[in-house]
Amino acid sequence: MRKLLLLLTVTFSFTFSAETFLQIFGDLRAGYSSEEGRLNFTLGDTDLLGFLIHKNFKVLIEMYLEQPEAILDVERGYAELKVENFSFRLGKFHTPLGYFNRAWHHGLYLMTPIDRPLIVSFEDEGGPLPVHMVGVGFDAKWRSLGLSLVLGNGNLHLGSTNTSDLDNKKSFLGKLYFSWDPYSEAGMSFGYDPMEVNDPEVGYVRTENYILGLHVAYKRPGFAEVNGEVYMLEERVSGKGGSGGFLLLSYPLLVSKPLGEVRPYIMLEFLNWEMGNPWFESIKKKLEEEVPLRRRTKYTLGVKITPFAYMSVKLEVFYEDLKEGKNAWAVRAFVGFGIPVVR
Amino acid sequence: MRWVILLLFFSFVCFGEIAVVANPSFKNSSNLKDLLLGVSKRNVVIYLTDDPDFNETAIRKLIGITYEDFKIFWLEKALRGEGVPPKELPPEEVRREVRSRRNAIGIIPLRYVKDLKVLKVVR
Repeated sequence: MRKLLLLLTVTFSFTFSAETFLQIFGDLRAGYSSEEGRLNFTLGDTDLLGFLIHKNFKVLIEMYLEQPEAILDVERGYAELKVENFSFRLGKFHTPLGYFNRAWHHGLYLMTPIDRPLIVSFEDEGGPLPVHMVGVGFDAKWRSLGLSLVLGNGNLHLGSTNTSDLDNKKSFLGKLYFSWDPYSEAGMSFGYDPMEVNDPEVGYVRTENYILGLHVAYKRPGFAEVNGEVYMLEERVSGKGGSGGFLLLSYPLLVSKPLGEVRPYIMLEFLNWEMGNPWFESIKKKLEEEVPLRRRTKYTLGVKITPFAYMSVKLEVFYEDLKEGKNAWAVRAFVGFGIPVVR
Repeated sequence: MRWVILLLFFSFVCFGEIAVVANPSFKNSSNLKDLLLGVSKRNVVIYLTDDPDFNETAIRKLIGITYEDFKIFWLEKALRGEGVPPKELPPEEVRREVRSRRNAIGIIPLRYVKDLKVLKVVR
């Protein structure tokens, strides 16, 4: 009996050779903005990311503690099966629109700018695109070509929550891309994102967004970084459109012992929509209190310093040319880190 | 005397040589750079030594980027849930881990190689 137990233990430990990862991400900020007219010190959001890979299976969970309300939200949580060049996913994940959205997720210290570009901002931070989705996903890769498709409950701005869809309309998004080496990607994103809800804050909203995007990204470690993305959103019920995009350029100017890599960057962003577009107007109304959604062009100049792989310091200044209201500017500092818990 | 000189020469050569090793059952269909960067079809776990100078030389010679950039590259992959970052262990332990795990790849000094499949040796 003892031998049998020993044999079972050895067999199980050999066959269940899963790889696990658990890391905490966090950040601290300071900044002065012309709109607020005061210096602010901020404790950023805290993110816990963990996953397990066993043979062809993967389960991932990412929890996000949002400040200042200290709300704990599940940002990603899915199970995935990988068979050769194909993978199938069920749960909550980031949609495959463009490159930036799936490349950076919530580990803010690793990406170059302090915040995500406006067009790919998270739903509750004023982003107009459905960047998260609860549903099913499919990925295929053949040599340099890739295809990602997702089908799910739809946008989390108004149309659904983590646990239920608020209407009977489903969203379908995808991306066709070409990746010529491990550091690059160019492609086209597309999507159909309908919604019909009666929101307590916004009222009755019916929209049908058709999304078309183009992107190019090149980020080889230790070399130049180029990431450009542009999106068009055509709202079919009203016939009114909207668009947004960004161009991010950076280059490692210096690598020295105490500072590590010093990488200056510039980012140009724009967000615009036709007045009366019900999609933009309703999320603007929904977010009015927390994050004002405005038509604008934004110019950012900054530097990212990476002393070692688990920490970065960023200094940034931006100027916003607002289509309505007074133009704004800000100076900001950011210290971000990742603490490996299990590797 | 001839044997002593030969042994000395052999140990000198081995100390400067970097071996990329895998489990003897490992079937390699991808190129080495793709394997080390985790862009091949299979999930691999990379094991490196606990000597940062050795790792720096090895990664520069094998992939052409710094060891710090290599770590960041894998952390960015982990953020996407695409794989676990490289693990750092003493060379003897790397050898043992690679020997016991089918999907493991190790980068160690050549003199530690024993009962492993050698994918590449660089000087």
